[in-house]
Amino acid sequence: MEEASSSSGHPRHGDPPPHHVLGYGGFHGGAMPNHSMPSATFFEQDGGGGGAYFGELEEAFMHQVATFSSSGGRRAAHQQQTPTATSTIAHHHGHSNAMPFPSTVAATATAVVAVAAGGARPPPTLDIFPAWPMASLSLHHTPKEGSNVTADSTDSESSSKNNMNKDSSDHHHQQGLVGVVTVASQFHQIPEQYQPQHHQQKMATSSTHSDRTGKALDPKQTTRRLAQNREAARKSRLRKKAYIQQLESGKLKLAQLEQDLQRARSQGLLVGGAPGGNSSAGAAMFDAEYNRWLDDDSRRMVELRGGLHAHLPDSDLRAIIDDALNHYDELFRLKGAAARTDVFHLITGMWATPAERCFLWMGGFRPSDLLKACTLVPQLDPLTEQQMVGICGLEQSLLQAEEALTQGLEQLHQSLAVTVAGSGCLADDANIGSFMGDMAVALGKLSNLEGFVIQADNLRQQTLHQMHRILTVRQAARCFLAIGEYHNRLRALSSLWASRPREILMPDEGNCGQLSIAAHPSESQYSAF
Amino acid sequence: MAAASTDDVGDVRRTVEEKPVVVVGRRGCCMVHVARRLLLGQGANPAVLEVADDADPAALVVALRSSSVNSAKGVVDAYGAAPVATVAAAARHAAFPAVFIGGKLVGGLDRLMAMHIAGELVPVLKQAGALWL
Repeated sequence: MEEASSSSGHPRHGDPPPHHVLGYGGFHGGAMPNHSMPSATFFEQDGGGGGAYFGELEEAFMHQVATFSSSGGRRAAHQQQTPTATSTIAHHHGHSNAMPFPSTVAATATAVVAVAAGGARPPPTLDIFPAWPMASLSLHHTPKEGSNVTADSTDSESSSKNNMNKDSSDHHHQQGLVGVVTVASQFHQIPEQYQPQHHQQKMATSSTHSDRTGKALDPKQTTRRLAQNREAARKSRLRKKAYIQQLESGKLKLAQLEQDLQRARSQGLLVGGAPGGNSSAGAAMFDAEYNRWLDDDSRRMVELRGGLHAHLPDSDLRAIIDDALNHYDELFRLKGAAARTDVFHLITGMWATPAERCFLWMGGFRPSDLLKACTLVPQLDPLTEQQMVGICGLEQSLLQAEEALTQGLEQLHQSLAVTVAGSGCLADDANIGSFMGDMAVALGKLSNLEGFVIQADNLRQQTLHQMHRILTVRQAARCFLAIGEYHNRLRALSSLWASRPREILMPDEGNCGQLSIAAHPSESQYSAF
Repeated sequence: MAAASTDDVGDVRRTVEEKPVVVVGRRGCCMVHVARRLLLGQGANPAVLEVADDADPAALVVALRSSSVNSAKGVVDAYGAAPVATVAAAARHAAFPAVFIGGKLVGGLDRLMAMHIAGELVPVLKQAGALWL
């Protein structure tokens, strides 16, 4: 029953209800037998006159009861036998949004039938427990409804009592009606998705409507109006559903766009997002350039490997190696420019993968680590004595130079800390005035960071050049390959670490056993590397 | 190791002539510290000269060049693979800290590092008589 009537069951006059009310749809439909709504067919009214709603309902119930009592079947087209009535209602209601309708209507029917058919034999098989759970109520209700609903029920009760007084004071009828109202009032307690303003209006209209006793109203008019209301209610429900769906999809789209934007920005495809956070224009630009450099580098490594395996003449190999060396010079030039633009981006290693960042030294790889990558190089092309001396000397020099730079940076840290701490106690109010002065000095000191990154890159560059000088062409080729592969492995380590399956050990409550669950591997934005 | 402070070019020249290893830099500059540590690690004992924050390294180089010091080629010669031909070129590359070994301008910290990695620093220091060991 796609009906959204007031909880009192009174027809709305031009007020399309936004939501359907559960219990009373059935009642409503029941009052209008001529309506084509399927659930209406259950409560058939034999021209109940344009009476008040409850008057009609009462008659409808009475008629139905009478039909039940008799071995009815005359209006087989319009009504169902009691045993199947419930299921049919359920069936019909199943088509609609109002899932609980079958339960409520069926319960109502059974209750009414049981009450009204006083002396009549109750149908042998009555499905009191409907197939549809009451829990599948619509979620759109506010706590306020409860109070409104209760108020409404009392009013409807009073109005229906008025009806009763106006109509025949048949005890039978009263009983039936009371039964209806009692059951009906129970349904009031079911949370309805109901708007208070409509409620008040319905209250007004219902009371006036019942007062009028409907003698002036044409049943057909009422029927049409009710149908219109139902239609309007249904349409508004569908609109609401569509709107919610739109919102949901919009939300998903927004999240998707944000993700894409973040990814693109981190890859430097969009230069200049909002500065701040971890992505400034300079940082984004460097990231993009660095990624391009990485692609170029891998290309050169492939070329170098191919040249080695193809046993190219030394002159050709030398050309490739020189080219690779120049390519490294290009990288350090890029990094130098980035250091002047955004030193924090470089020195915090946000441009590198997590594993690389872990071993980061002054905004890049530690030069002495390069020698570790090349220690196994001499296997096929052994080093001469002189070369060994040269390499050892290089390692020694590197360690000393790295130590000197590290100590210099440490001194910068200390100096900066002293500046930020200020001359007095930071807790004292008097030192607020020194804020700007201290900040100015600190800014000046911070600028030294650029120098450190540039000096460190210089060290890296010199290391590569020195190795190129010491080693033969083939040795240098293998060495450069080893360096490239070393960094590839570091980047792969980052990806693997990020995507490793996590084991969550949950202690079992009762026993001492443990339950391990492999969680879904987390996403890594560096998995591209 | 006390660092002498001076604003006078003459002072700088005198120090450069007298001491085998001199590091001239701005006050509180961390790179001076780095250069000094590096040289100390080689066994040299550099004299550190602090100049004013606004001192111009190029001007200093030019000034030092103008008075012939220590050798026919002047102070402005730089050690290394790419000797600087003219004073103007040297002035262009001049930066603080400036390292002088044996009265000759070596260059900035990066030049010092390059020499060190290339293994050229120790021989030069030895030649200038800067190493005690």
